Amino acid sequence: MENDVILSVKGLSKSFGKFYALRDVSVDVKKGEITALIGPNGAGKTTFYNVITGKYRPTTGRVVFEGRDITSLPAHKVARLGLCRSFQITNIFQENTVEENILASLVAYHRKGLSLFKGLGSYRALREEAHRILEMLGLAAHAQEVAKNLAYGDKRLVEIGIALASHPKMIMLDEPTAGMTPEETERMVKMVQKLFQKTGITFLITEHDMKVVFSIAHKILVLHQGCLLAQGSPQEIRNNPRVREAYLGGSLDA
Amino acid sequence: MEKGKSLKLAALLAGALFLFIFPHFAGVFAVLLLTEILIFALFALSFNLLFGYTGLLSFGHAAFFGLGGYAMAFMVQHFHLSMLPALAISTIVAALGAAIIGFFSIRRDEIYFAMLTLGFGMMIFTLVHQWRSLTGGSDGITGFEVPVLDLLVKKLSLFSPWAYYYFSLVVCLLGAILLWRLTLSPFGLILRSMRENPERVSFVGIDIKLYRWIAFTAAGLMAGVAGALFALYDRMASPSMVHWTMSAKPVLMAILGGPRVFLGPALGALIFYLLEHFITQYTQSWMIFLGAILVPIVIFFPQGVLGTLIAWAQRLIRREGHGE
Repeated sequence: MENDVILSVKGLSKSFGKFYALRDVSVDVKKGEITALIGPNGAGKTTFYNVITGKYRPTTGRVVFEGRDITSLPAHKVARLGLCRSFQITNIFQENTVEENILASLVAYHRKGLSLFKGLGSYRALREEAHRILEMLGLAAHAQEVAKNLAYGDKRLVEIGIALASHPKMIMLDEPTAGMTPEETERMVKMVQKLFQKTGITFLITEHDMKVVFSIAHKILVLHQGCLLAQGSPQEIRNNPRVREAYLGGSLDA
Repeated sequence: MEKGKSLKLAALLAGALFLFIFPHFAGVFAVLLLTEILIFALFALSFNLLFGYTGLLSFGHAAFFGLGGYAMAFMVQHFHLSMLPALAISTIVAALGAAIIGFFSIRRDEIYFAMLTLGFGMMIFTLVHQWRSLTGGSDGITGFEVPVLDLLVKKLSLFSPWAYYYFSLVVCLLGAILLWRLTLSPFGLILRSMRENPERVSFVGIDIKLYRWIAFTAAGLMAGVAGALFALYDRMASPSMVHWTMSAKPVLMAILGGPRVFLGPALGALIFYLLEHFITQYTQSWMIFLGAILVPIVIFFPQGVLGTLIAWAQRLIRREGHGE
């Protein structure tokens, strides 16, 4: 059983002064599943991401990824171990081309960043890999465009492409559909499902849209005021009276 | 796109041809002016590796220009080294200085980085100004000759302005080519990505401090080459080389020419010196005119002169392409 767990969080707390953004959160994320992390605004979802991926240090608690203690490791080392994330706001390299956005991540993964004088153009394998990733995301036609000129939904896909290019074992998506139209949301959900099926990468997703959550997640974690309120299958969460009461109200049937 | 490329190639060839042929027929004054422009072009290009490519605005880049210059003057004055060993040592001194100052400065970015580099720059200035036994204090190091260029098979005197011009041209071109290769490499892509979004770069597994440190050291090294050339050109190493107003020059040149285009700062250096030269014929307060030109450029053409010209050319070519 233990081998199934890719990310194990034990007793994680994060305080900012007297305010606890996270309080004693313990969860296990199973390998090869899509896990959703839900909770109202301010529940501590993004803080959870930031503490795990090395942006903040936890106040107390331990984070174990693939059997390795990654508590308080800096962000670049966490990424190196195969735990990557996307961001809630579009967080890409705006003035660079779409291809370069993906290439930067590939250069980092293949440790070519300290190659100082050989032209990037001569790294054909890297460029082919970038092309494959863009094709998978349906962005191949935009490869040479400057990223800031893309449509919003496409930018969010670039964001996921950057994470994908670092060969992650697990991707943490922070509200991948934030600010999207229903059409864009549907496209993104299909994309995540496609990526999951094609790559088998473990996903952790925060998401506001309950329809999305219940349609793609194998397991759901519910955060409420910094505490883990419940965890379980979509069915269990749907029927959990505490979740209904504290957070979801009537909207569960959406 | 093809048309854009051939246009670019033609412009580069014309520029190179001019640099190699024109001085042969030019008078001594023009040759001296052009030498200084070349040296400052390299200085500005080295600065722009940090500013335009890595997104770090240094207000202390003159420290390495000065280190290179003083090291060169010192080596020639006291040890009578020939050109290439003296240049190599000056470069190493500047690179070491940049590695040390960079190690601390890159720990912060944006305005804090600018202030750290300014602070270190002022410290170096004070050191240079006060340490009379080593640096000659406010007099600087003077009274040396340009060393001979010992090519093993042949010794060349660089005494004449023309000889020194061509030597500087070769060194500056080599330096510029090295910097240019750097910007095109995977390393250069990581630098540009850090300029756009340092946080995101660290989340794909890059140690941004290490990369900033390397960029800082490389920029300082190349500034040292420029400084060494300048000390010989000026026949002196003086505290003005490390003064903070000297640090401001590459900033102005990069913004004038365009920090997002590789040769932008070099064109900026050319414009800067031509303006200074022509305006000071009429008035000593040429800085007023420099300001009057700089302000509209920053407000209306933030891409700088070269950046704006290239954007125009691209638009023209695209429009033509549609017409066909």
